[in-house]
Amino acid sequence: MLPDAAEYHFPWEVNVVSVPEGKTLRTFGRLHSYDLVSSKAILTAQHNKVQHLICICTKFVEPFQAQLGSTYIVLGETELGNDEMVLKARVLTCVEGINLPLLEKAIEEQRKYFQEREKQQDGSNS
Amino acid sequence: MDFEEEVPSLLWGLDPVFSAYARMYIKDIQEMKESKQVPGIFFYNRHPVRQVDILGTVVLTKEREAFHTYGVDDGTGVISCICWKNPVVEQKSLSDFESYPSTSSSLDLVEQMRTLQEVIRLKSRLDIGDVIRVRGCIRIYRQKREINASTYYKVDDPICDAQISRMLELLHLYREIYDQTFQLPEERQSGQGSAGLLGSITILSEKIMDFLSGSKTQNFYQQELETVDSLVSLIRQCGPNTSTDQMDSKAGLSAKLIRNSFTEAIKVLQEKGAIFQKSKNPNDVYCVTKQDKELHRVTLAIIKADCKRPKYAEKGCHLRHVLNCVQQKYSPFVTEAVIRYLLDLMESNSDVVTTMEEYYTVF
Repeated sequence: MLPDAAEYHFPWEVNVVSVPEGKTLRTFGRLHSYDLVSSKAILTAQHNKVQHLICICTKFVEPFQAQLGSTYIVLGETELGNDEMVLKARVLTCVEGINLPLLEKAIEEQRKYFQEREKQQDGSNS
Repeated sequence: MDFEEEVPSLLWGLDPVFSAYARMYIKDIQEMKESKQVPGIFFYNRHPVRQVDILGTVVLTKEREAFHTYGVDDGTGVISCICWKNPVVEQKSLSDFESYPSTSSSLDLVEQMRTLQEVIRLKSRLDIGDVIRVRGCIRIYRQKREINASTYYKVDDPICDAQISRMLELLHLYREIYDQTFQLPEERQSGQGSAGLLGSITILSEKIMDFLSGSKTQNFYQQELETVDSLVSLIRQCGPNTSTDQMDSKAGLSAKLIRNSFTEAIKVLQEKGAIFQKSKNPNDVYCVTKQDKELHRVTLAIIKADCKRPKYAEKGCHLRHVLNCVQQKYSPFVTEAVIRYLLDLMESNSDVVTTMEEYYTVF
């Protein structure tokens, strides 16, 4: 069985309000901390001068070499635990050196494209 | 996007997408419509797609005896890829090479083979989280689409460059190629298929003739016709319904279209014999058969003179005889069609008389 497609989400979009539980997604952030015992990592990202935290459950991707301060891309499912959203990682890749602004631009452009296409299809269907 | 009719399979090859490995979003590979004519061919926006090229993250692996199944996720969708194992790498162990005699030159070769094998092995065995590039055909297995890989390899993408550039590249490919509806060349000219094309060329040639006789033109260049508004607007009417998103290429497209339509229409007129050239170069001047007084004079003189000869006195001159003489005396490029057209014209003016089929005389 194939898992769902993991659409790119910006780190500031991964929260209880905007993402349902069990949603497959991928996002990115700087590895802030890693607790081997509880298999919990925290990614951080800055957006509009606000620091965003994403909790990652690393059970499925262990053992992995945690390089604190490096940028990671994470792919997995959201899960609700103790009032906060946890991302159960299936893939956790260190991408230190990534051109983040370019990635963000690519994500935005891709979304824009799909939105335009949907709009056009709606337009031609109605 | 729903289109009432599929492009006939005979014409698929005209679309470059058909012979390319289409780089597409996995979402689209999963969703596009399969051809009713040929299973295994899919349509995205009327483009026939036979083979695809994807790049994404491996999110699932399964190993079978002869192949690996990799689930690939590109952020828009997930699809299984059947990646066949390389039999050479799988069966031959490295030790097989060690029995070869070890001269210094062959040693190098063995070493290189070993490195090659190692690279292939590394590139073709993937784990979850690796980035993979797959090219292959789409097939449907147990009602699920999958890609039967003809080529696949692991992409070293430590800083996500390959994935980002693929995302950006796809946007351009989609906007500039896949989302542009594929128009068959003939539809481009008439909008109604080949019958319509022929029709519109015939109409154009008739209108050109009307214009030429109306203005009593004796000779003209093709470029001159292309500046006549009433004719050009005719092409625009029966021409393609150029949509607004093609605005920027419209000027270039219609210039080409006008040129082609006129070339075709002139060809039709030449075949009829209504116009002719005194050379083989299409850029040279065209003469209007009807208005060419010199040709009239020469032809009439030939028939008049020859009908006095005993050989032709009774039956008159045959058309081919007239043609021969005109070609010698006037221009070698005058065709039989032109003479036929001319003699018909002269006959209707009562300049000449038909004695029997294809024989002409004068009184």
